Amino acid sequence: MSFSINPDMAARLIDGCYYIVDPGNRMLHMLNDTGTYIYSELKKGSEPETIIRGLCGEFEVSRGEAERDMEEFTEDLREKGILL
Amino acid sequence: MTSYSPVARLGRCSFENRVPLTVHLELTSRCHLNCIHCFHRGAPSRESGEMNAEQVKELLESLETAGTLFLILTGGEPLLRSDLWEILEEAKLRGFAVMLFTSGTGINREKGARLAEFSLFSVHISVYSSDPERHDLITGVPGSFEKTSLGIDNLLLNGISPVIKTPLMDENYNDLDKLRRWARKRNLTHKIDPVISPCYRKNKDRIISRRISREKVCETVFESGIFDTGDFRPREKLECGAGVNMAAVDSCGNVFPCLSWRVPCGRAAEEGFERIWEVMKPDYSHLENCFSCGVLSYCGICPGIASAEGPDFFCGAASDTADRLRVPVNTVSSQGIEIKEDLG
Repeated sequence: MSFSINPDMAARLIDGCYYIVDPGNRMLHMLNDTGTYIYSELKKGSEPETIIRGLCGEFEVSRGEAERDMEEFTEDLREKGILL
Repeated sequence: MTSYSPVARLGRCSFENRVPLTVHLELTSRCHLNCIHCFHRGAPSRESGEMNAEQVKELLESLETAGTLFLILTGGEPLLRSDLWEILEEAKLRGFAVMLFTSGTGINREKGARLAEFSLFSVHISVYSSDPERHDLITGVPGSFEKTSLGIDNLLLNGISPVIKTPLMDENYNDLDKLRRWARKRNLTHKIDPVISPCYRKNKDRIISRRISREKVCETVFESGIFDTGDFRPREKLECGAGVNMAAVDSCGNVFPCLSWRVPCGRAAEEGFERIWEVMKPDYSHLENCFSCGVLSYCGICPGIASAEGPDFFCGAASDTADRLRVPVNTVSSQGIEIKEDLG
């Protein structure tokens, strides 16, 4: 798995949540806690394995749950064009 | 518990946490048009130097750190800056949702294609009338309607559908229906601004003399259908985002609470935006009577415009609106609390 953030998206971390604007369709997306964590790590260029381990520690979830969350979230962001 | 949409939540959390979510940045006060209602005519920013590209980039860095998401690049005419592309590049790199306000007159085929590379959130173009002569009368430049129309075509060719903006004045009020049809035919979003703003006290008389009457403002608001669609929400408090979740910076780097509320709070290049923002506190003392006003809920008062000319225009328009809605004004108090006064 490798992900890169679509450079056309505008994004800002405000009050602990990432808000992402897609200028193509003028949609505003708001990420929840887990989404914000994953997105922040992706922005830093972290590898998926590092993010999954981070999720387990930050949110006290099993590795299986973290992998599922990571997969669902990145798939959703790919569908929305936020990740390439 | 109330569930907020992302837009409402962003507005609310930026307001509560005092994040300058939206910033108007005037890249220049230069313009090749000479619009009759323009507040830049005779404005102080025309007399001193513009920020250079490096200063603008430093400002963008500060705005990113402060949490600004929506960056509105305006002027004057931003396309007159030869370094506009450099600035747009920086804005994109820093993750802003960029809106560009322009007359469109300088957008040839090449510039239209270049603008499309920056994934702008929106491009707003001022069109005053669908009648070329009337439009040119307002801009003061013959042939400007033709150039603006060409600019719009060049954007459309490159996949950008601009938003058409029309500030209403006595000069173009009667053209509104035709202009709406003109925009609809081109499948363009059309927005109107019924209350033009003087921004500076020294502009007050010149600009107010161009403004449509408060009766026409009221008529326009009702015509928009806001009271029929259920979109209207009575104003609960006399609060405004100026200096709370929005700000404006002029071409010299002076920071204001908003574009219409031009009380200088500091100079970004010298003091840094973040420091200025930290201590900025809009002064509402000119609106002290508004807090206990019976028609506040129906009042569209702009604290910025009122600071330049006083609140009278809005007082009249709010009373007209309340009358037309047949609202017994004494039952509606300041801050949206019902007084339950016995009117009998």
